[in-house]
Amino acid sequence: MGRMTRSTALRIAAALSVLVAIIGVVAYDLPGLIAGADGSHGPFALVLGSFTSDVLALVAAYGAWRQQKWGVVLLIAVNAFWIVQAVTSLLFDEGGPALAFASVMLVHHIVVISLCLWRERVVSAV
Amino acid sequence: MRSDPAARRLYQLLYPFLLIWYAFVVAGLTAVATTWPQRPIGSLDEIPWWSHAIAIAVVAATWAPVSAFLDRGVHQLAFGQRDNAYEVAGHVSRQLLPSVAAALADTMALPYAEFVAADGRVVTAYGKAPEGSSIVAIPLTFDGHELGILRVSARRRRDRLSAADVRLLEDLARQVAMTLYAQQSREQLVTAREEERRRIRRDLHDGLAPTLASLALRLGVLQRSVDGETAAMVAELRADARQATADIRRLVYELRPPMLDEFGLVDALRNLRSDDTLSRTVSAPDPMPALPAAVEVALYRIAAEALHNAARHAGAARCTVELTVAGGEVTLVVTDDGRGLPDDYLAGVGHQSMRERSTELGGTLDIGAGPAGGTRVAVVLPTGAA
Repeated sequence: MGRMTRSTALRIAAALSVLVAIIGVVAYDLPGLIAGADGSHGPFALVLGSFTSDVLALVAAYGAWRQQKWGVVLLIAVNAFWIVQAVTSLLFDEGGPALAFASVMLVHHIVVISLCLWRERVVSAV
Repeated sequence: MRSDPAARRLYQLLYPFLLIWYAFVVAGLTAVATTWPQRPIGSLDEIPWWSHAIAIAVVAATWAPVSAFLDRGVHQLAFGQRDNAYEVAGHVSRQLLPSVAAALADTMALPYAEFVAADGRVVTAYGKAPEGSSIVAIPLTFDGHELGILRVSARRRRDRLSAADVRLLEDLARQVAMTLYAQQSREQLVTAREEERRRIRRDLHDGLAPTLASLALRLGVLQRSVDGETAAMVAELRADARQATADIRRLVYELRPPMLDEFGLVDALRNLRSDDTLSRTVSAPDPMPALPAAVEVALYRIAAEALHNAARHAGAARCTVELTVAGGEVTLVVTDDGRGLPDDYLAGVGHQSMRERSTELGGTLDIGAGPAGGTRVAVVLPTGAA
């Protein structure tokens, strides 16, 4: 892990974020959007907020994959927001699956932020 | 080096944001842990006050490593490798000609571009000249100094470059020559400095130091032949002469490692004192070709630092020092059997110093894992820098 280059770290962070964003869109956002404000189980604003954050994550992942500074900063911001969501879920949601999902997401977001701040070893001049 | 205002602003915003965010995350996770038996909770009011006290304690206990990690990470994100100026300078210097050759060929759609040094050596070549195409040679000159030649080929077989193309190439060649001249000047400056240090050291060692030592001896004789106040004055003069001799010895040592002149580079490396009983094997060409003073000093100091690190930090018991000279370059490789570099290793003062010594002579330094574990330090320096 110590020998991982920064570009590799950013690509892993981008891939992980794309994965989670796609899972979020498919499993949560699209059903909520299709159901609409009236048919949605939770507040519709949460569905819209989640969808927005997932889209932002996809855009940020593209930027991070291309090693663009804006992409990395956006990816950090989105994952920081997602961590708040995960902690909130751990505190307020019921049921084992929700708890397990929030725990996995928490670890994921921390890993992604750590990868975004990855500093490769300064040992080679070539 | 000036920093980009946008990068500075990003650093100033993101770093405190992440610190505050970290504190909130710790508070949230602590709340999850402390309310676990009655989860899920209905509102934030159900979180006990002592949960926040625990969170504060956790944040305080982990503040130093976490803030350091965030600081380094955000700094890297905002400024890149800006804080390692020597590495950047060395990298730019080494990459300059290959990059320029590639950029010229790509932007002007030239199939072939190469840089030839003043001594006729091809420094870098890009692409391949079409058969039968004419080659244009543009001299790289700056301030009357011939620094090399830029050679480019025409775009197609039996074709020539237009006058506009050649004018553009001449303009670019002037810019490249200026950069090359700056790089060469720096190398020459370092080389001249070391040669001058060698001369001063020799003059002090062979001239002034024996004179002062002889003066101290004669003052000793004089002291024994007089008495009273005169004897006390002579004793004082003798002490001053001895002090001056000691100062000159110290100065001589600091100017240049004495072992280099007394034993030569190879034996100096064999007798180099490390911090403990680190055993070493030194291999070198026999006879060792004469090297510029600056190169000798740089190799000696880099080897000393590598051996010091092997003994002090890596816990090595054995190491090998290999010197090879080929193709106008001298290569020094120091390999130890220690525990190697840690995963979270960052270059310290010693490694920065080694890198500066290699970079200022136009060389390269590579520090990494050895082939059979341990650490390998490899430095390549041009021998024609003198």
